[in-house]
Amino acid sequence: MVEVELRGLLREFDDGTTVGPIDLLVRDGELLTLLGPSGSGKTTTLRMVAGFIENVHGGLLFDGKDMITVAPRERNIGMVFQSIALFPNMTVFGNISFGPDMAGWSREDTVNRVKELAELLDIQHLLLRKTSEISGGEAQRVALARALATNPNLLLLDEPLSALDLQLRERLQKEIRRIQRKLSVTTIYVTHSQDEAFAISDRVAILNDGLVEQVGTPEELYDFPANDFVATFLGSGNIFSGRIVEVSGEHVTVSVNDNLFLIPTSGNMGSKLTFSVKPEDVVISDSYSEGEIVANVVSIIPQVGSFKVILDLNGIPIIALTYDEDLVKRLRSNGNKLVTFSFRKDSTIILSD
Amino acid sequence: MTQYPVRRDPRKMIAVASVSIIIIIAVYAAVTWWRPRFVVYTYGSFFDYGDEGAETVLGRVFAPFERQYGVDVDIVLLDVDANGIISKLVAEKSRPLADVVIGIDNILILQDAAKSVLEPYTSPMLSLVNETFVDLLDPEHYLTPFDFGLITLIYSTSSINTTTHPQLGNLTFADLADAEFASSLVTENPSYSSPGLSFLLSQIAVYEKLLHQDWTTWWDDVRDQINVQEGWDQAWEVWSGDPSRNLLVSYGTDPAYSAYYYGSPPDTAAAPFFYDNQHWAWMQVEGVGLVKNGPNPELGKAFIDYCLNATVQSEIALNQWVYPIRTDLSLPSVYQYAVNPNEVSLLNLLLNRTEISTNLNNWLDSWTATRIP
Amino acid sequence: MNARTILNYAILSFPFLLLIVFLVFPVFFVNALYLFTGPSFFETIMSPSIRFILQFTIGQAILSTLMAVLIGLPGAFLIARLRFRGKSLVRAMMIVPFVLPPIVVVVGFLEMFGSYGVIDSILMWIQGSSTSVFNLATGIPGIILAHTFYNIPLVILMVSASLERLNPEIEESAEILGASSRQRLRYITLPHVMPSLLASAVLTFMFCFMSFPIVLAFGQGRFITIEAQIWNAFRLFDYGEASSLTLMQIVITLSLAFTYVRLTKRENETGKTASMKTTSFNRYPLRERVAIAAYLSLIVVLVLGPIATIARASVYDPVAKVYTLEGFTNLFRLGGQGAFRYLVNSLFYAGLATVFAVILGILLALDMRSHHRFVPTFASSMILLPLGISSITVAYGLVLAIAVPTGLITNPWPIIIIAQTIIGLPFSARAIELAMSKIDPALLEQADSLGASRIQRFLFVELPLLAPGILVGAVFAFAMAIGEMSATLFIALPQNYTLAVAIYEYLGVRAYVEAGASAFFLVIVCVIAFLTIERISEGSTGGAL
Repeated sequence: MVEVELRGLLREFDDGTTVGPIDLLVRDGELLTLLGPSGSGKTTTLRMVAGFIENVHGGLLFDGKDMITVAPRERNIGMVFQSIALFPNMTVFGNISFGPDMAGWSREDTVNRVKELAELLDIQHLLLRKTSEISGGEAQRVALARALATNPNLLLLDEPLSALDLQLRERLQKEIRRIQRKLSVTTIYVTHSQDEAFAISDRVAILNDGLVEQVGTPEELYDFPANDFVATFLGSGNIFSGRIVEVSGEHVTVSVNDNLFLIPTSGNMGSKLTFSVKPEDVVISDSYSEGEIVANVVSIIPQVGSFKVILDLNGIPIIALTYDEDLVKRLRSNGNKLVTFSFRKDSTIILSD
Repeated sequence: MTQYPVRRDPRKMIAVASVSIIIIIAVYAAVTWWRPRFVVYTYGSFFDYGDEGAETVLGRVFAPFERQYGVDVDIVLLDVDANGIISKLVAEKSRPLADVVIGIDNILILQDAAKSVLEPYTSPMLSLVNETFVDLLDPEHYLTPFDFGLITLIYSTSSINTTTHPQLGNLTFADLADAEFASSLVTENPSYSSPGLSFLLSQIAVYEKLLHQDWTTWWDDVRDQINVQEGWDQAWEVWSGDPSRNLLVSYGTDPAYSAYYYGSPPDTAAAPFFYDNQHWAWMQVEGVGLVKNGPNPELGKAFIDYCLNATVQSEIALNQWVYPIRTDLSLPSVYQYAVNPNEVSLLNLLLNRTEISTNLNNWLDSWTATRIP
Repeated sequence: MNARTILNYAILSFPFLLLIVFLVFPVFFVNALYLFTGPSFFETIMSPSIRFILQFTIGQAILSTLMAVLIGLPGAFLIARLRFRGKSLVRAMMIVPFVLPPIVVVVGFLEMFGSYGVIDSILMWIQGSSTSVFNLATGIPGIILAHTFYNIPLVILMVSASLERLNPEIEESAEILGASSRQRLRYITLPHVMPSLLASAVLTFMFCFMSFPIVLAFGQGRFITIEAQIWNAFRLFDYGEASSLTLMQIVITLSLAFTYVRLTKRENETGKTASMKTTSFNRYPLRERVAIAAYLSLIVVLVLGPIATIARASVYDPVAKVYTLEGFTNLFRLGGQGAFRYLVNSLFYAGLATVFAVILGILLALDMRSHHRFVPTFASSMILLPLGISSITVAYGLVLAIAVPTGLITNPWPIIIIAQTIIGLPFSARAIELAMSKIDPALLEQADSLGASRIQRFLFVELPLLAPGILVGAVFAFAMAIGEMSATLFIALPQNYTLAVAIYEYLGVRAYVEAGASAFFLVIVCVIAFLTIERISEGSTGGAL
């Protein structure tokens, strides 16, 4: 389909705040998600790609061709808005056939295309209804079909599922994924939900304050967050920040609130170091052995197939994940609030500042 | 495939609508397309108080003129009074449509605006008209006299008469200021109505010239009782509908009208003012004038001459219900009930022309001031 | 600047250009011509009689506005909250005063409230009196009552539309929080309707401020408004005074117009809520039912009374004392005194004026939505300008500056259409702008992203969505145009007379049934149009103002 490249794309608002400059490469046929908290510039970035924002600086290339000055309607994109925005004055059929009609397709081609999409999205029975007579999930499918009707090179989805309930959302995520794969249309997806982003994307770009923090596959982001914002936002780890107090060969010793941690990395004495450890890499035990660090148990939250144990280490909160039911039972029954913990080997991730 | 709705292009609908609108406009424009013709401006009720209605009478009266000169005469009956007609002529001054205007009276012609749209013309037919009328109307001949009426008070004999109220036989303004009469009186706003203005000037003439008093005192006296309507139509409406309002400022020919339509003796009588052992009334002379820079000046002059013909003049009495300016023509018998112009003195003569033209706007302002609570 | 930008500017400036050519220029032409010929501006406006006239004009307008608001407000609540059959007919009747020429209202008032009118006759019968005992159709009471009659519907339509936009959940949550019904009214409902209430009050004030046929008819020469004085000055060829007064009028009404624009801007954001809390009459407690019944009888007497007398006048000949359909057959009689040509003229002029008012209204609505800084404010005040300029000045200006130089004076119907377009424009533009503000911008972007060109987007998306607003605006513009009399009368030659002018003529020659039937015909045409529109636009007509 098309490869999209954002080169220092920048929007300045009247009040002086900016979104961008954003550098991003969306590969041909991939589904890339823009993920970030509200206000981070996801939607603005998407609208810049769509062309709805005027006075944009920088470059926007579709297969190497600059699109900045091209009007939205000539960019050959399909877009689904957060508000769905079905045309209320048309039937479902009228909505889906809008693009082909505007492009002047023959009646036969249009009807065939609408039927094809309706089949793909399982909405054949809705075609003659008014838009006021269909449910939210159905409206979502119609909007998707409408966006895809003219075989766009690029599909833009702006939080399309945010108004739906959890179950429906999960089902539609799968469906969007399936259809996107099938049509292999390059897609940019905007969401603020990490679960949704990870479930649906080939790659995810994390946005914060109008800038891209990190781009990568869900696994890369989760396993190797580039900085503490990404790590915190993804909830992927316990973050520790301290000073190096000792350097010895392949390890350094970091002092975090006077607790010493041995980290396999290099560094200078006295410099600052931030690292994270994922909860599943924190091992806890109620049998005390020499040299291990002791922490207070604050609470134990049962989850599907595991328990989340929240510890307090001299004022630093630590989250640990355990599958040991017996341990939890013991911790609950004997009132023992002290546990020892350690990090699994090679599990610490050094974060850049 | 047919089951799905086809998108209708509104352009087709808009095109159809536009074409139909254009066709309608074209048809309307074609039907009403202006063909050059001879245009006469006059007021809406011109020749409209008779049995046949204005259209028939006007057709009959001006057909010989049309034949003689081979033109279409278009008598434009404007639904405004003479002041409105002059306003229209002023607006159209740089490119007049009308050739002749009928209905400007002896007060209105004193305004510069009226003279500014007219061209003086002395008709040879004036030899048939009593010179007094020319002097009363316009010695400068901007207007040629056409008809005249006497503005006076009328009352309905069914509610009051000279037996119950002997003052009606020789009425004075002092009588009218009496609470009973004042609260029976209906008049017209002098700013909007020529009978109303004539009545105001009558009152001013009497007070300033006969009684030598400040005229505004009378209006102060009657301020809260008198009923002032916008125009003659509305005033007549109140007078005929409300038995307690039985005195009206109107025309001296009204008793004749009443006798003609509702039988004689009429239930309407006139009460001219009485001072110095004689009866007085205000004479309104209406004229016909040539529009300045009109499209057909020669035809216009011929038309003015034609207006003094017996063909036209003899229709005035029963269709306009005022006197024809040609006093040599015989009048219908019901005119015996009208106020006879030979039996009253004219209040007009008490105020000279310059006096009126200089003071008119001030008088109207002072009158308005007397009305303000 | 590329071609697209130029086209964009051309479209945005087109309505301004027309308004400047056909409204601002003629009015300026007249005023500039005469402003310096008569007594100076300050001399005129400082003279004692003009000062009194100004005081009276403002005083009566304030009083009339208070009356209209006090009587209209309960009506707005009833329309919004009471469920009853025939509600849309009642709503449709609200348009009647818009279309009635003032002279008809005067006659209706005289027959209802005047001496020997309906109320007087009843009182005379009760008191056994043979002479009139009651006359409200004269002087200040007559003027105020007639103005109230004209403007109650305005208040009811605008405020009830705003009430219907109040989300019932807000009131319900206030109720749960323990607010009494009086507190809810004070702290929730009134603040919510306040902008539309004030806006309707400003409009009412403006209409009363500009009133003149009513004032002439009932004023006894004692009470005149500035507008009437302008006519007066024109009649006495005192163009200098007329110009000074026009200028003063424009200044006052323009500042009111700004207030109005300000007040209405705030409320636009809220859309109509899906479910409106209405209650049927029987569910109200007895005391309130009595109050409602008393209120309704007041409305019946004040608003429906004069209309009913007009309806009766259309079939009852008071001279011959018989019932007759002559008035209606006369409407369709060709030639002679028949009114058919007036009917054709009325429909043709008002129809075309409506088309133009809608087209211009759409363009002006685009202006009001524009992102340029001054354009929206400028557009909003331009559309209110016609409400604030003396109709005689406009008519005189159009004749002097447009009709005479172009030669249209021989057949001035295009000028009449222009005048009627200008009069209807405030209503069409406002209704369309309101409809435009309710369109989700995402829909337009969606159309863009689907490859629709600007014109396609307009035709297939915007126009259908604007349709209800356009229709509502069209009906109001049509009603204003078809009821217009004073400007038409000045511009027209007799072949151009409309039904509204003919009514005036008929009354002059005491052809009462013909006048009554013509007036009734105007009413019926507009009520039917309104009912149709109500059905199409699903009852959101009141928001149009």
